[in-house]
Amino acid sequence: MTKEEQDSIIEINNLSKIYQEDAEVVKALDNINLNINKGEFTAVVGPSGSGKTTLLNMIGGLDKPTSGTVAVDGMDVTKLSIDDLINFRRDHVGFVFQAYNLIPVLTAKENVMFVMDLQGIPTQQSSVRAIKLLKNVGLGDRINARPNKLSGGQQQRVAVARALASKPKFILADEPTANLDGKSAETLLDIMEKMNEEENMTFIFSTHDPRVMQKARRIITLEDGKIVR
Amino acid sequence: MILQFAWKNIGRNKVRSAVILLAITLGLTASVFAVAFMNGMINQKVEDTIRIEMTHLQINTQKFIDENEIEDVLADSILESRIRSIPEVIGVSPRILLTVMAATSHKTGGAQVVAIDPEKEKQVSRLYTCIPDSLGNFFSENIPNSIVVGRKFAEKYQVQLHSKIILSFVNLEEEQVSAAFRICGIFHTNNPAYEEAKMFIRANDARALTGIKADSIHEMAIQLTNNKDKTVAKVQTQITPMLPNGVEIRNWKEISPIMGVYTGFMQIELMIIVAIILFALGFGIVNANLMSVLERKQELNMLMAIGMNRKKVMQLIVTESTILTLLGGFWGMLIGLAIALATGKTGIDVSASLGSYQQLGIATIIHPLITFNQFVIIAVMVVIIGILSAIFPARMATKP
Ligand SMILES: Nc1ncnc2c1ncn2[C@@H]1O[C@H](COP(=O)(O)OP(=O)(O)O)[C@@H](O)[C@H]1O
Ligand SMILES: [Mg+2]
Repeated sequence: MTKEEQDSIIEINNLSKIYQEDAEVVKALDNINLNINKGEFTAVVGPSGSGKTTLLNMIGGLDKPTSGTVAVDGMDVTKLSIDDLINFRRDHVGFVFQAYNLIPVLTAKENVMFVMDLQGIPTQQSSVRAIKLLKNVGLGDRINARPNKLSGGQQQRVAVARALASKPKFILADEPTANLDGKSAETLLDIMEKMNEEENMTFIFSTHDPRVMQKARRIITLEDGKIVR
Repeated sequence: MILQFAWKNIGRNKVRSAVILLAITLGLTASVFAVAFMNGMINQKVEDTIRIEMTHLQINTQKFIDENEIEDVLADSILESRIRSIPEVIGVSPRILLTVMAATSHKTGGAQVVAIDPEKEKQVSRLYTCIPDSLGNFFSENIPNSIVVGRKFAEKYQVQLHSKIILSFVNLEEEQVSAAFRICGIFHTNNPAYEEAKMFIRANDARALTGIKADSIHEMAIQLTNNKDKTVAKVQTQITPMLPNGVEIRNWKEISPIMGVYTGFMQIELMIIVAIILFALGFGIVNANLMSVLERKQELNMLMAIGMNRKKVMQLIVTESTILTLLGGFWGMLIGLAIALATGKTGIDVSASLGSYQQLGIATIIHPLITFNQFVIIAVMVVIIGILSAIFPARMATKP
């Protein structure tokens, strides 16, 4: 066994996802084989409709494949029931979405605490951790702000803090910078990179922004549901 | 945490939450007041019946209750004054009860004669107020062998004021006796059976004809300050030890079980009406909850994506609905109660709406009233509606 295989946390084998709507059949993912190792900072790139979101959803247990397996630390998540999948996501996956990331009625700090509450972590402990994480993403002075009082870039940084809060095995970010201006996008990526370096947190993010791609240390390119590079 | 989160979610669409809140508040105000008003009506009906046709308490010998014989008298000269000294007692009327054949030129039939001292009878029965001015009075003139009959009797036997009626009955010596009486008053009630069967004469006339002694009676009718079960029970237990062996005291529910059944039945009916109001309200709440859920479907999906399980999401929706329902329910019930209490004090005059249905001697002022039990039952129903009306929307929320 090589060092790399030992450290692999995500193993994807022969993964396919076929959407069928009426007569139209879309192969969103076509026989994907892929390993992701602990501590990677990986970008999934490709044109719109190439299957980036679908791939990330399969890895994060948000959707079930048509065939193939996704193993996280050796456990096949495609076999989990709906409720087990929810718990799996709560405990092992951090998510940063393109939009609708935060709960509008909660403050930044409460948003970060939310997943920890779901995990049953005592309020006092989760409060301390939330403040620390928000400081780490550069929002130490905005902890009590509601999402609508934060800029898009700040909201995504709260989302990163929240994703980190549950101490997941990896963080999935589906086009996290799509709605951000260049500078905010860069800041967000710098923060993700910092977390990756400091805490060895594994990041898998999708993008079609060349400047974001640059930051990645590994790039997986999708085209028509296939890995082409 | 769910509770706090639910509370914050209620605040996000203030207009909708306010509308639901208002609807529930109004619904509950209406429910509570409707129940109180109908209680008042039922009480009034019971009260009228007790004040006119019955009394709160009656004392008879057990033998008289069982056999109804003329000799089954109760003779106790001091019992009446002892009962009168009880504060809750407002009237005591000793009565002689005779089963008679009544004959007019038109018809002959059975009837029950209540022989009374008019002044004492007025203390226990408002029947004397049920005689229209044109149809005489309740023994106001001191004419011997006067009789008061009911409207239905007068119609059936084709008699009018001052008509003659022959009463025949068995006296204490078991001899058949008969005497002529002249109608001095015709009473109206809303109970035809009572109007046909009951007639009143003076006790003195009855004693002269039957030979029943001055301190002997068949029945002592007692009227109290109010018909609360508590008051009735209290006085009943207070009098019981005063009674000689073989003499019974019964309250109005024991005398006329059907009246007790009637009030009990009306209670159930009232709760069914409330249930229907709340059920209709429930549909409105379901609709509002559904809107609220579908509007933030994306957010709810996000919550489930980051690990909020379906049970917790359902709890969240149910809690949101329950908070609103409870708040609205609380205010509605409070306002309803306040209105019921306020109008219960002053009473609501319904004489205008009764119009020609007005009955002599029947009060037209209704005093709304709600019991603690009814209040609790309504509160429980509100909680159930709040939860039930959130279940379907909650299921929609957790659908992928
Ligand atoms: N729920 C769905 N139903 C049908 N087709 C879908 C669905 N989701 C995605 N697709 C299709 O699958 C393909 C891949 O989509 P997606 O993974 O969203 O691509 P990307 O994120 O790279 O833009 C597209 O052709 C898209 O139209
Ligand atoms: Mg996409």
